[in-house]
Amino acid sequence: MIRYVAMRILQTLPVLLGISIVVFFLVRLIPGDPAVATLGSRATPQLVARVRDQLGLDLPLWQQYLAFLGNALRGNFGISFFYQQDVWTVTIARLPITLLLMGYTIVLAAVIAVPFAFLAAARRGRLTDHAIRLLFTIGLGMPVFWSGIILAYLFGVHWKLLPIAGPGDGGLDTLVHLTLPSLVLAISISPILVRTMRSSIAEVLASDYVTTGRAMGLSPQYLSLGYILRNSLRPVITVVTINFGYLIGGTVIAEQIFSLAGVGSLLIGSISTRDYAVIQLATLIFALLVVTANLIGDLLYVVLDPRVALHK
Amino acid sequence: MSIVPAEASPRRTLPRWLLAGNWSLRLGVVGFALIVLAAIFAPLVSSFDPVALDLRNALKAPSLVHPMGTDHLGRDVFSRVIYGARVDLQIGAIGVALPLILGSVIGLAAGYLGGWVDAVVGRIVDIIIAFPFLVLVIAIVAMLGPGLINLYIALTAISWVLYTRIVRAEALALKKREYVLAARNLGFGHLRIMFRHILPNAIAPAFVFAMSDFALDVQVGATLSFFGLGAQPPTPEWGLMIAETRSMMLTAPWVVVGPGLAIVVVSLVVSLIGDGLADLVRGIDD
Repeated sequence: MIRYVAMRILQTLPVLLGISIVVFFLVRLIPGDPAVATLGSRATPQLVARVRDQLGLDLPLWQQYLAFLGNALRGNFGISFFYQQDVWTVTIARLPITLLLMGYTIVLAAVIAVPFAFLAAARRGRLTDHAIRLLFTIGLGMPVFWSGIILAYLFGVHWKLLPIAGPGDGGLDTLVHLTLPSLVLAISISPILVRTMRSSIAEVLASDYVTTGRAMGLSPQYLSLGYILRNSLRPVITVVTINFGYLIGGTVIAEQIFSLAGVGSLLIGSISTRDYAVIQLATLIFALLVVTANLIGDLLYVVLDPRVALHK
Repeated sequence: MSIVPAEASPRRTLPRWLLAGNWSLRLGVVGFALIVLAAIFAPLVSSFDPVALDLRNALKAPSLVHPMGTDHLGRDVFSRVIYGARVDLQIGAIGVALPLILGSVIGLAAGYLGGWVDAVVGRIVDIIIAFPFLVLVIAIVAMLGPGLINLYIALTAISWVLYTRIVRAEALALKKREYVLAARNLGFGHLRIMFRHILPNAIAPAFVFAMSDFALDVQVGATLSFFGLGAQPPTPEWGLMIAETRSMMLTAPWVVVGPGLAIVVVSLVVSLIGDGLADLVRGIDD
């Protein structure tokens, strides 16, 4: 078990290195001189030369990369021109709200998906099943920025049920404020959950131990909660980790729509202010979140099913 | 007298499947064809100019003349949605076609050749997949500058890995099949075996995936345009239309409903085709 965990962590190292190379080269995509792009076209040649020197743009590429990697490992991403503050400090301060939004979304998505997946699996091939599948296919087709605007209008303006902007004042108030953005995100990822869980629940329903349980006279409720649900929850972990990048993409949009000061809205905001270092760090953080989620997902899977580690 | 083979070849099963069952595929294909036709013959479908201003008719509610109402500049929303299909379908088509071609060729090479080619390709795929798709598209377009061309560059630079993964796995399995070994023993070159013998049998799952990818690309394209990174005004593009009229939502909710519904309908139609194709591919395999 410990060997499996150590191996799994070691395996991520080349990917982490690759991620850092991609993030380093992002700035190289800027057409023309990155120093001029950062300062604007009206900057004096002296200032441009100073920034070029500061960014190390005159060094060979591999030296620039090593310097970038060294600085990155120490959390040094330079100073944000727009915020006049350390890029690392600005970005990390926004991470908690992003993580909270994502966590809330996963819980809400499971709450929405489980009953529908159950119903669809139990009535497989019948009208209810088809109706649920159609409903969730439509859900998958709604872009988050649009469903966000529509639900904000309905819940926030029309019915005045939920707040539609900002993170609230902490504690319960924050949860209330995050409900609508989380709901929007949950609607966008629950279709994927329903699809996977529907087939896994159907498989469990047809399994020998459920038949045995029925024959033994266990009540349907006990069977549902004690056996079927528990055994079909495992795919949720897989689906969430595989689609973690998709969830992050949605979070970026939702933060922007619902005025939440997270890493996602920082990424979008930094495009117009040409804060390239912030864009780099935000991209890096999101990639690291994906890698971490995959790691945690794999480990959770082993905890739930020790046979996986033995096979490796 | 020629002998008629007892079992139908895959070539013949295809049209037969189109006629029997598979409602999902038929519904999807008809729906998609209608949308494409509406986009091509947009001037015939809609009677208004999608970019001409008509301020006296600004923010009119949906009516028989304007089925989706008018926007803040008096432009007919329905006409803009129809013309917008040209832009959004183009995003989907290019966003699928370029990565499909590039990714399939690379995946074919990696799976068939194996060795260091496969190892290098595998590492690159792992790295690009580690980034959230939308985040990397946004980051690349933010660096290159806004516009549809840069969006296509970003989509191609990222999505190819998804097709590579699929085609590589298929090629890996196919290269051990007897017919491939037979072709090799006949002295056929590697390129001929790869493209004539393996690719046609490895490409089906990539086409199934291309359908959900099409829907994803349309959504990503609309999202980037919504954030000002994709299509630029006054182009009628669905995401851009929503961004332009979002502030009018309180007094005229219809301005954002039309373009959003268009995205939903395209996604739905394309995923119907995808589901249908998946059944079809499974049917041929059986």
